[in-house]
Amino acid sequence: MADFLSQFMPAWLALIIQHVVVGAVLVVFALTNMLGITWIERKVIGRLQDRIGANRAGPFGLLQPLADMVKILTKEDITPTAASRVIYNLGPLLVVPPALLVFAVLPFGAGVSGSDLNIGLLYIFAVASTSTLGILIAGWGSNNKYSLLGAMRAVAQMVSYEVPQALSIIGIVMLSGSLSLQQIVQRQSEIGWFVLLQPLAFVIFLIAAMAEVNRTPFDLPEAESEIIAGHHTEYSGLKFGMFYLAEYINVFFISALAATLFLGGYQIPFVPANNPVHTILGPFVLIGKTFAFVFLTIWLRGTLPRVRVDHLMGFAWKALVPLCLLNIFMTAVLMPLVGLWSANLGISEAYIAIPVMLLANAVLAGLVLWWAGRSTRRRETRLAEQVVPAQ
Amino acid sequence: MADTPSNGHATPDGTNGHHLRLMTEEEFIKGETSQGILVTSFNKLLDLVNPLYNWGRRYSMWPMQFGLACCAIEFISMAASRFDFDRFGWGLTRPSPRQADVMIVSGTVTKKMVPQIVRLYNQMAEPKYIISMGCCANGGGPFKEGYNVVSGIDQYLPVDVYIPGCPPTPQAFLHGLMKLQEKIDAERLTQVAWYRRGPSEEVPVPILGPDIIDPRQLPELRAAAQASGGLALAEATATETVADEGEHGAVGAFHPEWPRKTKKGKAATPLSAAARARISA
Amino acid sequence: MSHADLTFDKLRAQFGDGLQREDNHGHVSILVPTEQIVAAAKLLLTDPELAYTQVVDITAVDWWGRSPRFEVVYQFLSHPNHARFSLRTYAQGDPPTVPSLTSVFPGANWFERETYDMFGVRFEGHPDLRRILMPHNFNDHPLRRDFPLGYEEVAFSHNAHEIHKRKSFTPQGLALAAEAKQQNPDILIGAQSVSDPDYKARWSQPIEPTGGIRQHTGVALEDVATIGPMAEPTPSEDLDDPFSGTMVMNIGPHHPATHGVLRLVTELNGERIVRVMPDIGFLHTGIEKTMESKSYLKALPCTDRTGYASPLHCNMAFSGCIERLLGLDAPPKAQWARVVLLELDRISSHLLCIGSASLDMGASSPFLWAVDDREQVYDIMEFTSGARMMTSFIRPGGLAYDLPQGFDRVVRRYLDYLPSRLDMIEEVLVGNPIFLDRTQNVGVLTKADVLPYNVSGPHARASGIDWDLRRDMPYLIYDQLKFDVPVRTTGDVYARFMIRFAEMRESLKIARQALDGIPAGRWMTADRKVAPPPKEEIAISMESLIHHFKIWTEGFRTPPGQAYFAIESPRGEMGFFMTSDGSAKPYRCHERSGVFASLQAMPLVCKDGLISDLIAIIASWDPILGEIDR
Repeated sequence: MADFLSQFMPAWLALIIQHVVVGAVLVVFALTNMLGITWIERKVIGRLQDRIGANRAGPFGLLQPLADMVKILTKEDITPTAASRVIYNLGPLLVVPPALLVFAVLPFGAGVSGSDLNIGLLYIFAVASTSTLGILIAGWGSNNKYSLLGAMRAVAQMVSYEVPQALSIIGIVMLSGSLSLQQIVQRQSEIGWFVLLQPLAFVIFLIAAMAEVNRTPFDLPEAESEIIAGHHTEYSGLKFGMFYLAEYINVFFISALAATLFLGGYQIPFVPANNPVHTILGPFVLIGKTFAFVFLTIWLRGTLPRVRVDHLMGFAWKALVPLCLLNIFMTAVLMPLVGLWSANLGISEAYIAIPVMLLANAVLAGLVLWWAGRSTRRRETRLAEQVVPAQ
Repeated sequence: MADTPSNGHATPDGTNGHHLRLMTEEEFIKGETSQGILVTSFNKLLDLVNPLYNWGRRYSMWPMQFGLACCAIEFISMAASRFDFDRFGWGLTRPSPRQADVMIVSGTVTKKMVPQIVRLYNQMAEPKYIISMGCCANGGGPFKEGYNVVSGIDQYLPVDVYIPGCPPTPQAFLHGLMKLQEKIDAERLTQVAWYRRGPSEEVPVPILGPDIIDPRQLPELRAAAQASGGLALAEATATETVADEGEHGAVGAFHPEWPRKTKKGKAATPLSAAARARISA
Repeated sequence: MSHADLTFDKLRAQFGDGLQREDNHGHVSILVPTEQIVAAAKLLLTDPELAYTQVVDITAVDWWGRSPRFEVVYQFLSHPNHARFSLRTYAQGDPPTVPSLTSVFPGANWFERETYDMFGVRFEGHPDLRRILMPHNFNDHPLRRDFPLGYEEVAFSHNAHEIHKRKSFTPQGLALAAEAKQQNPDILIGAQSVSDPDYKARWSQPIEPTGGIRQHTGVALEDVATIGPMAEPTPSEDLDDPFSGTMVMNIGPHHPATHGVLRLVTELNGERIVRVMPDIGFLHTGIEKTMESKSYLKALPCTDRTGYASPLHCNMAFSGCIERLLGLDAPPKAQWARVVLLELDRISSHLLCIGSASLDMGASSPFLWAVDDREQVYDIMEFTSGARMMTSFIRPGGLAYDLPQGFDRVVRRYLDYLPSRLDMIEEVLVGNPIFLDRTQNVGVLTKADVLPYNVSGPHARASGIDWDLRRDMPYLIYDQLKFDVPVRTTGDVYARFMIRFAEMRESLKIARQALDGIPAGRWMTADRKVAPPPKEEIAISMESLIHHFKIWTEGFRTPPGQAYFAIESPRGEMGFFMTSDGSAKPYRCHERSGVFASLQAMPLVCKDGLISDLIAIIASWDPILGEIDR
């Protein structure tokens, strides 16, 4: 677009306009999808719970998110007297930008992305983790014990799950040789989708990503029945709307990222990534895959109970991190072998890589499950129970 | 309202013995404008926004997760799959009062609990509504005579919809829910309470005592107690306030949200002397 | 010789021949001199042949006009011998005082506090005698006969202004308060309390320990602190001590978890719980006093509203107590039908508990499935009685109406439908490792704590005490039915939930057997003095007309006496203690709630858990505040 515009204006202005327009498109894209997700969530959770969701506001309740928006915008803006005014107001402001900024590097088609940084993944993790700061100061600034507890839990959780989230991606980075998301998608079209090559990393990434965005079963910071609403207890109106917004945009982004990293992103299966059809169809393919993950997230939300805080931390540090490291080790050992074999046998890499990695992951998963099953106290407790028969 | 005579005999002035009547719209607006409300030259424009404003709020009411007694179980039934108030957009119940729009007082209001209920109401953000669910919250219910029971939450908080029943069936509740939606539809941006000029008053949190004390009456009670050496009698504390009738036209029900000061600057009692005279006539 | 006779002989041997014994249709009670009550209780507990392991109820009766005025009544239960016994004593002195039983039975703690709160009877030696149901700065004792029920009259347009005048926050209202003042000079009313210099001081009491509850088996416990009255928290009166490292946080009374208005003052060390202090009374509506002013039949709907998750059990306990007073048995059809309805009620209550628990733990779907299954029970109740929840269907003498045609079909359809739904809920919850991690080894109530702390019901069975009133002291026709009583030994939250699942399946079995066995016949007793005669008879018989008139105006009378009758409700032993003075209204009607008694033990199990554990523990404890606060 900049080239087109530079016919009419200086190049630097055209560039600025291009960036602004792209940014605006991405923000609108994120917000629209966020509204869609709220609608889908209510309907899907409703169906899981054997009921109809929202269906009065517009046909099939499609205008329900709009009604929610109007309501949130017109609510009174409250600042508690005892709250620290500046940081109380700053909290919601700090959670929304990281959620939106990360969309800049998401690839929608071959060469179609806000900005193809060659440190794309690093950028994503760096920017996304700054939202933790927003939650922390929101919780502290509210001057409320429940908010404080929620904020502390949020910080502990998000810091803990950064590590497995990043480590699980290392295998992919090794396979594609780059942190750039465009390169990763490109590589997937050559070697096969990474969900087949790195299934363990896929599962770990999903778990860690859900913990990062505070979705059930990891929604401790906003556990309703325990600490009221956690860090956003004292917020109303648009400030609460910011938290609400940020949460669902995060869910959307995490799903899109999972689709990009593991399911090939915008790539249609068996079509090479640099095929120009992806410029038109790519975004739709990506959105389709994204919503599959969104559905998964919502499904898990409706089914699973909440994890306790110490179990959460234990799970991250004692289970996920060692598994990630094992995965990295396994990838590092096996992929050069795969390269050698494919070079020697003359077969395309994909046909060797996929079965080898799947087998290796299956073995590893089996070992893990066996070890976990052996040491769980569930069996011990079941043995300890005695059901006394009636006399 | 003035149709059925109270003692079987129609009276010539048409009131039939009923001296409480609803205000007409002109009277109400006159009352409102005298307090200073949102009146701009863009009134017509604001009226165009009204449908959207009300539509958004009527389809997205988030109730507070608040339940006192048995009616809360029927509230749960209504939130559940069979009756499902999420169809109306109400399903996102919020635990925090700051984010809730409607407080459904379901269950008996006791004197120990009423300060907390009022406090929760004050913490809610405008626009906020109260649905009084069940006989106990409407007016004391089967335990009206109880020594620890407040006869209805409307003694302290402005109720928008009353749902009778013990407990009301979920169908009755849904009817009440739709009535609240109708009430919201009838609201106008130029006339809603939360856009008035001046600071909005919080409902005073009643002081827990052997009988609940309205803290706005404290100066009088203190003076009366000191004057009579511990216990004030009715004659000694005749602080009648007169002529607060003109503020709101005819006497309506006691509404805590209306300004408490009369023209003479004293705190108003629920019924003015003129109204009392009319009633006992 | 019955166990009651054995008990009487032993007591007589110890305390002399002057003990008065009263038998009332199986309810044996003995009047004991005041100073010997503790020794008598100790004898009942420690004697190996007697072995009365729990004091299940302590309350008082105000014989206004007599002297001594307050009679304190104790109900004892012997688990090994399946027997009950009752002791009575008079409170002596001014203020009326009785020695406290907490040194012998720690579970007497809350009952004595309630008796003090309601009657003003002081219990000497009680570690923590303060009010439990009324607000802390309330200065009178409501269940005394000279305390007015409440001066609230129903408002009509002709008397509305008079009623407003009487409110004591208006200056005019103090006139009526003056009348009450004449009867009780100690009362603190409205204006007076404000001018009272101690008023503000009493509001800002810091937390002080006042003594501990000594445990029965000798294991040391933390002190229970005095909670100050609920004043407006201001920063200067903040209860946190910045140097102790602990934080005091208030959970409730507004509870997002759907357990009602329970307030838990929690002392936290980060997320670890140091102490939990329950504060109840936010739903205390004075039902017991209300019931004293109504005839028996009119008082029956009040009982629905106490244990509102299982209203039929409350009706049953009430009706059973009246039947005990009257010496009456309901006809067989009523008894069999009552069992069916009670078991359906139990299923509905357990579903609510499990559903709410899963919602508290984050899984929202099983909650809605469970509530949907409860709706079907409500459908059956509506089909049978006309009302979904507050049916008042079990009445003294039988049932309210005959069972409708199609009752059998409708109930059987539900009994066939439910097991697969229970399987579904169980699969989603119990098979889930997250749920298991949150409930296993959490909130363990040890077996040694169960009986001393007056715990009964599923909480007791989860900790290894094999006791169920339906099997061990059967009422209605439970002795003719075959069913198992599930018991677990671990005593954690998981055990309490699994017990409820198992009990629901047993209830299905029981209901099916009872449904098969419902005989034809009357659904209400033939005694015309209790049950109204059929309408056809009124037209032809003068006596029937008089009976009809008397029953619907005055109500049926019960012979003077006392009775205690208890059933196994979903939350433990629910009993009614009633005193009749020969009139048509209960002179004293006290409801003994299972979860009120077992809530005493909850602070024991919460120590050193996290907040998430506290939520799971509350969920497994299934508190229904209507029952607890009445």
